[in-house]
Amino acid sequence: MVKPQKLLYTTLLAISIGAAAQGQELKRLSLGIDCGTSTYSTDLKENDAIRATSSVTFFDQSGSYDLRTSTHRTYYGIKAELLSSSGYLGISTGIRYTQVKSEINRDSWFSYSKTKFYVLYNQNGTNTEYAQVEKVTQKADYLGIPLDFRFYTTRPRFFRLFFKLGFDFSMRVGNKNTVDFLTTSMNPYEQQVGRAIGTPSSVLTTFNPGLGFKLGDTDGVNVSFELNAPSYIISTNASTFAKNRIGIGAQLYIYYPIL
Amino acid sequence: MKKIAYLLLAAVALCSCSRESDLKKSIFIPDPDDSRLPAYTEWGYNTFGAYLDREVFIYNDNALPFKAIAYSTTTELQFNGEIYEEFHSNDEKVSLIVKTSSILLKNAEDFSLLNGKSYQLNDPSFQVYLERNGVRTKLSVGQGVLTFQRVQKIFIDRKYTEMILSGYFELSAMQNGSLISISDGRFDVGLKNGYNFTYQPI
Repeated sequence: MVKPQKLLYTTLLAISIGAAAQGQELKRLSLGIDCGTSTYSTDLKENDAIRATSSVTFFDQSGSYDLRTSTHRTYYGIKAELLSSSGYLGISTGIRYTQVKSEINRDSWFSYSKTKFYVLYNQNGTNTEYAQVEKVTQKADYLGIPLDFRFYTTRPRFFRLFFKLGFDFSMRVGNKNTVDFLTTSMNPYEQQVGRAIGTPSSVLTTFNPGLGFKLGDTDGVNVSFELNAPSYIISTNASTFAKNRIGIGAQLYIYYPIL
Repeated sequence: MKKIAYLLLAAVALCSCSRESDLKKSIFIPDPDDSRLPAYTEWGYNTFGAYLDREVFIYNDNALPFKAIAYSTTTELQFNGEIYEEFHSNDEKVSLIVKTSSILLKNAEDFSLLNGKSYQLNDPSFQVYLERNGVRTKLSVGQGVLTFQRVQKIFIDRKYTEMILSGYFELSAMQNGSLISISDGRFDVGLKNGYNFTYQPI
């Protein structure tokens, strides 16, 4: 026989849990801002305007083993995330500005010629013009759409771990090649030399699997931080002088549940 | 301590490997069909290569790969190198020398006039020699051609610096009663007054 007092307490407890659950009804749509960065290992890509600096050998398959390249990607955007009814899967998309920045310069270690290399920027009849360049920085600006799938390891609560498959698809909206010349007298020819270096692809596609965690109440501000490794730029011509290999990156996403 | 000294010596040796200015040194980009030969290029990489019969006749790092000596009535063009040996350097010096009264020059810039031109090496105005270890032999050319595919006047930072000659050559000829063949020849060389071009008005 259940004691009435015990039954009362049990009923009250059930009501209070029910009320609490009612108060914390899961909001499935969140809106927020994200930003992130990735850096990629690179190899030199043959560029018709850049003169080789060294011989191809058994050990160095490139004619420019002392030319160094690098690529970094940074992005900012607004993103909405929709959680599945179970709360385990989040799909997010939005709008994102991305800048891909590549650099090329010469390693001075083994070279008498210090840090300069030659860029062919003009040919007219039998006249050919080279510029002596110390560094070229290529920046390409893209506007696009991210698409992220986050798989949470637990039900919604303050701290959650997740795995992510992230993509983005963007169109180029601007680009600029900045040239550091050996002599400042060549500065007026920056545009001409920059044009010779080339324009990166008009479409940018990236793939960024990741692992991260989020902090925050289900009805308050949430912050998620993730590590993207490996990170890839799928577009082959995101830089006109660097072949982008594997990358590593990080992303911060601050969002607020709205519906 | 000895090991550290050796390592330091090795580092110094490595550093001194490329102590030659970019435009004077040879830059070898292999031909995709035969990696012993340099690819045909037009950058002034200071290379040349050809098959001498079935051996590879190629520039080396000791001699200037190309020299032009202009006289008042003739011009001498020299390709200086060696027979390629894998894994070690060949001590035999080999030069292909073309002398002609068809090309008259007073300075390196005059090579601009040869842009896109081909010359038949069996023409009476041409004499061709093959020099091996200082012994020069005249070749009796049956068929042969020398093409200046592209001649460029190079300006670096807007200042005239040198000429670049790029092209092809081949010939078949009799040498001391034997037929020899030089085939698939290609060159890409820089030329500069007072360096590998000289005018001797005699």
